[in-house]
Amino acid sequence: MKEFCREHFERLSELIDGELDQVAGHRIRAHIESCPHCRTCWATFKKSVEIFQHLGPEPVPSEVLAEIKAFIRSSLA
Amino acid sequence: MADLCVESPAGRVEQEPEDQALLERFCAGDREALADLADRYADRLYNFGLRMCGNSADAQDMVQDTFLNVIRYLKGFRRETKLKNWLFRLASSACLKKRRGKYDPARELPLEALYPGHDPDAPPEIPDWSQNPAETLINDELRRYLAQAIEKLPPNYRLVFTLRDLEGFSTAEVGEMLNLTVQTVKTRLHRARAYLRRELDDYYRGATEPEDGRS
Repeated sequence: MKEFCREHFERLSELIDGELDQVAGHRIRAHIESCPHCRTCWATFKKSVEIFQHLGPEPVPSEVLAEIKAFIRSSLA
Repeated sequence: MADLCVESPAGRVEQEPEDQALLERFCAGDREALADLADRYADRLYNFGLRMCGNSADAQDMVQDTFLNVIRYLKGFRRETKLKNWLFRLASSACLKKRRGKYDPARELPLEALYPGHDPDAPPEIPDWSQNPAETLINDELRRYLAQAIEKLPPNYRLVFTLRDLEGFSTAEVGEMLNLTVQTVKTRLHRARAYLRRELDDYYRGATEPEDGRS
């Protein structure tokens, strides 16, 4: 059973990213429904990816941006 | 139009309209287009550098190195990929050269170490944090914690993770940029996510900073 769960764990990212075919996706979802440990793992994994993808960019200090642009302009001269 | 660029090959891909306009200006001999290209991408590349290098000085150097390569090689850009993807490919290469971290660059993340396993003594309760909307969970403290955790990923994993989950490129695009197979991109992404999922779980259990050198 544990090995079966581990195999499914390996494919959770593909399931989140919609990169599994329908049969494989259905099989993993059915297992998650029936296995409380995998359900917990799935919930935390899926939420983690959601958090990563919502982090967004850090604000760039304007003086840093100005220095980069000045450097590029001077390299063009 | 002055022909400063390579002949149009058969495999050209469609560029974003603003990039297309910049490329046309550049090929017509307008070098100011390069400055405008920097205006368009410097902040995104700096952010990428910050995540890859972990500090502002290295991120700034990386962006400058990237644009020096743009100035050098844009004439030969064959447009078989999007301009944005080409810029990130140059930036990725600059990052890997620059990175002199304290972590072994060849370090791997074995899946066995990341698999949470089944603890028969622990009831499998779904933790509260995973049930709240992502937007409500993200705050400055979590951002700082995750930035530290991301920095502890081995560079090859961090690169794939950053391009996929933080910059939003597809699996195929990342593979093309880094010269990796789709399967390698998927494997590295999954392990990086699994590593960071465990760090997040620790954070919600009260950890104040990610552990060092963990696999």
